[in-house]
Amino acid sequence: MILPPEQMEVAVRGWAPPPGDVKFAHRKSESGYRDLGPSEWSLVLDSETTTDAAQRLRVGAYQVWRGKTLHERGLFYEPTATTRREKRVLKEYAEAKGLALLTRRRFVETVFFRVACELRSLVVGFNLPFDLSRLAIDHYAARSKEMRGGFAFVLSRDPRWPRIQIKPINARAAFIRFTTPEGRHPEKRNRDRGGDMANHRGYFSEVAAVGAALLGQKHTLGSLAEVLGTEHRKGRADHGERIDPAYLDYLLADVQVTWECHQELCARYETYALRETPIWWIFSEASVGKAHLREIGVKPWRRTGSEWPDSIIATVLETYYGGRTEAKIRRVPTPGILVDFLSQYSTVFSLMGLWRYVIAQEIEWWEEDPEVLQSFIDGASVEHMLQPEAWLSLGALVLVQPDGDLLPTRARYGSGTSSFNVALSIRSGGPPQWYTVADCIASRISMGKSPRVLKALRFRPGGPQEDLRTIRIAGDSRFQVDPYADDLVKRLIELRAEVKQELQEARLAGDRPRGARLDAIQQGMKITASAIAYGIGIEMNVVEHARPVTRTVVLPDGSTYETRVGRSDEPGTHFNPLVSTLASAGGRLLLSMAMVLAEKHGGLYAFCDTDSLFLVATPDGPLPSDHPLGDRCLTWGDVEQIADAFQPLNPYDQELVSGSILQVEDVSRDPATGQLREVEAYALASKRYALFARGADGRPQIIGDASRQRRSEHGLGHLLRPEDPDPESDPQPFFDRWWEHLLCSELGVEDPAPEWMSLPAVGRLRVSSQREEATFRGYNSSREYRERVRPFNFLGMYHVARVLRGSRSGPRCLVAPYEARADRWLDVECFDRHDRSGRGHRVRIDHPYMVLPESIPVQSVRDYFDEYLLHPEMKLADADGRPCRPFSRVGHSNPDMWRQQVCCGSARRRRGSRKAPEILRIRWWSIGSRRSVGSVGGRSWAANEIGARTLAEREAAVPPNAVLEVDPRWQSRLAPLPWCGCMTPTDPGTIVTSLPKG
Amino acid sequence: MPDSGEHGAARREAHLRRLGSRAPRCSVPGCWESDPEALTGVFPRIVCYEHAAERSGRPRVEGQHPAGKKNDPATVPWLGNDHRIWDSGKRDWPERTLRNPDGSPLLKAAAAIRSLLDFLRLLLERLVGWVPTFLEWLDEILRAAHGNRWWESLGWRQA
Repeated sequence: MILPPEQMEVAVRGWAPPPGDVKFAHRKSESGYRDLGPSEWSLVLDSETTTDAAQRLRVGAYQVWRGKTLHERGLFYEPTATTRREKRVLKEYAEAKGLALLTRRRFVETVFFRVACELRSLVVGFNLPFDLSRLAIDHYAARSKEMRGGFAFVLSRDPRWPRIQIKPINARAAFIRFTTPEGRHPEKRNRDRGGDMANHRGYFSEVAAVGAALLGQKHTLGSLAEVLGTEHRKGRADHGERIDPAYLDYLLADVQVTWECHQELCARYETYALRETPIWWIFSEASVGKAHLREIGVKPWRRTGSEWPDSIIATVLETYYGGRTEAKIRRVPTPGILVDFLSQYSTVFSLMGLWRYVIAQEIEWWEEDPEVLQSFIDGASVEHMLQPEAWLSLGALVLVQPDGDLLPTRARYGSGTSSFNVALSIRSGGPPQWYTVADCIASRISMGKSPRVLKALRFRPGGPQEDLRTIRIAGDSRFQVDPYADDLVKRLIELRAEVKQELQEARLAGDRPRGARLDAIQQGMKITASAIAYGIGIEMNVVEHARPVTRTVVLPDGSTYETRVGRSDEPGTHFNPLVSTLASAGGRLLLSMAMVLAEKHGGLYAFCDTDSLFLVATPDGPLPSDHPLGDRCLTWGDVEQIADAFQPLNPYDQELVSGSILQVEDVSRDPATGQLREVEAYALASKRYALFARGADGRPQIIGDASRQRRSEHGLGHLLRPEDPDPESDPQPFFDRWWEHLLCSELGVEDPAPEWMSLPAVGRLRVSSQREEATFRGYNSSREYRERVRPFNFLGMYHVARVLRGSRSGPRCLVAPYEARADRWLDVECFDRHDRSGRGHRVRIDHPYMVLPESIPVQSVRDYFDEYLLHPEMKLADADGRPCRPFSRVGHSNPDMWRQQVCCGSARRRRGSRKAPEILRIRWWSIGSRRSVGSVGGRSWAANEIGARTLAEREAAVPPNAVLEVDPRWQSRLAPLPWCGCMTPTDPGTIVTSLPKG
Repeated sequence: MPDSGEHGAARREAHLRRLGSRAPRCSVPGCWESDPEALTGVFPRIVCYEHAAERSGRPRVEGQHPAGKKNDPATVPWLGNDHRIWDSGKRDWPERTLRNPDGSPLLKAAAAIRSLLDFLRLLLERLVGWVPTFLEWLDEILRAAHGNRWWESLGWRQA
């Protein structure tokens, strides 16, 4: 059944070339100068603060290490933030333990700068931006080109000492460096004598970032110590209480654990044998991938001779989308089997021969005859794409005129939503749009018809770069990779399989040290392969600007327009969008092929998530007659057949990585026997699902193992966990309990609500950008520096009750000092960060509709739970053709009903909003209703502000599912204009509202 | 807080930063001088003090005040490089011992002993300081060539 089309605005990625060359800026400020590297000294520090909004330093601890020998350790404190009694405790404690005791100022001048600057030590910490900013007596926006968007902290008024610049790049990592102080420092004297020494910028190793990069998942200090098996473990303490010996023990232990974690991570990193990249250059998994390329000597694509006009980069970026993720069957427990593609992006990377693009001297492009690609797409089928040779021809982009084609589409799905989401939608009409050939083939095999190709661009890698070096992965001569003969990514997957075999043998033999080493190596191989195959090619670093800046947006047709944005993106070192867009499109094609095969077998899927697919299946086939899915169900045998069909696409050495690339996940197998087992899926929306089995009493039990429970954490991570808000505690029990209660509520199983449901829902707000800090300008203006909310502070954020949202007079964003005890959350005094007076407010979670002047209603965990449960899958249409609603459940058997039809139209600029992190172009048709022409036509400004559909619905009571058509008179009034928007680089599928001021 | 070790390390670090190398060495062929105190110039044109003196027509041997000029005006002839290294130790002496403004005999004796200790350290460093590093390097080479128990493969028996 084909549903009537709905007109929607559609956005695509755009390209705004960064001004000037800031590539590698954080690493090498003085291009061409050499860096001496750190000495054998290290400084480890940690600090504890007051618990108010200012989070001032109270007391800190440090260790100075010379090589692996502890040279000195001590405490430092802020005299104005400690009482006389606390100072006495500090003094007695320091004497008893033989520690140095210094004021903040003396610590900065006689320890920190002496060790970090004069001794050129490595500074080590867990959450260094927070600790370093606690030492500051002032700060301002970093002014240098390389660190724009960051902060410069003043630690001492003495002009001999530098400032510290910190620019966050994600939640864990930040670029940190010293400014160059005044005077004739040794590096300047070296250059005066004809040397080439770079200024000393310091060396900072963020343990949290290195841990996340090397272990592939984020950790608290406590969990990191557990995983790494350090000698000491993190303790627990009540923050904000009096300083006493127990608290100081805890503080000293933290520093020791940080150092031990650093040492363990260094040892792990040693196994990577990456001589060109020191550990303090590791900020994320992508850094590890880049380090391997550096080791081989691969010149980044933007530094090769590839002369690409900006319009071609814009074309490539227009085709870029992330992984496909959707919940097809909503709020209905569905039996089935979870299958996933083996290292999906790495496999696609190898199938498409993308390594040649990475090491190419240049990537050539030319306009191809569209007929050639049209006939290639016309001839494509699942069977055709199951032949590996077909994948080598996918290195092309095509301009498509959508006409009933199933294509990735970035739009605002659902009325009233301001954010864009990516979904596969049936597209018709509107201006042509660029897509990868892989996406067009996915559309062809799904819809049975090919998209119409208007233009085509073909890409071909030139010869390989010269002087590439053969490397030994993990320094092992058996794991040799010759960049000219081998595909690094493919080799890494093969070698990983080999190492995993050895790991198993080592574990069976009880050889723990060898097992640990091999485990580190195989983890490293996995991280490196994924980073090279996909991540680093599309790396974009967000730069926050204190004030909007002008950027030129280039369109695929070569035209440009200027816009002002508050945030912009700067491409990473190995930015090569072609590789990433081809790899991710290939991943989506694999997923589509599996879906089509399932459909051919008469089945369907419950949800998909980038590289995995939950196929509805039972041991024998049909579902019970009263099941809403009817007979759309596979047998387990069908699922195994579908998986086996992908065997020819296995690009790896069959001896090492045998079988199909589509595999049944372990979670669908009985751990004892290895046989398939009965598992059910329950999905609410994209990335919100759980896999469970029913106990004898019918109670759902989430399945998985201790390290990985199969229920998503999406949409929950920002909440402070009410059962144990300590950020150091393990969050998994909270997620488990959340989903357990959710499943019980949905399946009608009795389960008393957890007590924490009646607490306020509190999020964590970290002041990590100039824009974030600027929102506290009013609050800070009447306060001394030490009382202000400063960069890297973190606070609790309360969500105002739904009924008050959008009210002009009420508070907009309530924040409160971070409170680690959930039983105090209702007692804290919140303030509106936009309110200059800083007036305190009490909060309540009951009677949201009552006006009680002394308190403000906020959302409770129960309210959030209900919202979470009813979060609709807006990308898809409901059974009756309307966008999915909160209470929608599956109720039919036609999968086509689930796709929302989208048309796109001509471009125009949307005015009024101030947010614009990344440049995008948007195209849409401004639309009006036939019935509402008279009443709406006079208010074109309103249509510009809130969107024509919303306006039409409001003004003319047009039902939401009505088909709206374009009125030519409207089009002439709303002249086509360019538009720009934004997107977060870490999750390319998500777009944040993003409109510049006109 | 800093002790003499840290002072010395900071001084050494400042030298290395000025020289522009973490492993500096005199660039004159055949010269093995690698102590940053005795080196001058910038990487890769680093030369030791003696070769720099030779190039500018000055003598390689200089007069050294072993206990400091204020304590004892007598000098001994000493090679330029060692003069610099020996003298660098004096920067860690207490100011009063080095300057000895009123000529205290005890401080003079203290200076003599400190000087002797510095000299012995220098002598040890010069004579055998290189040996441990060399032995470790050689062990690595032998392990690579003859396996982890290279002494057995080569037929060497411990006495």
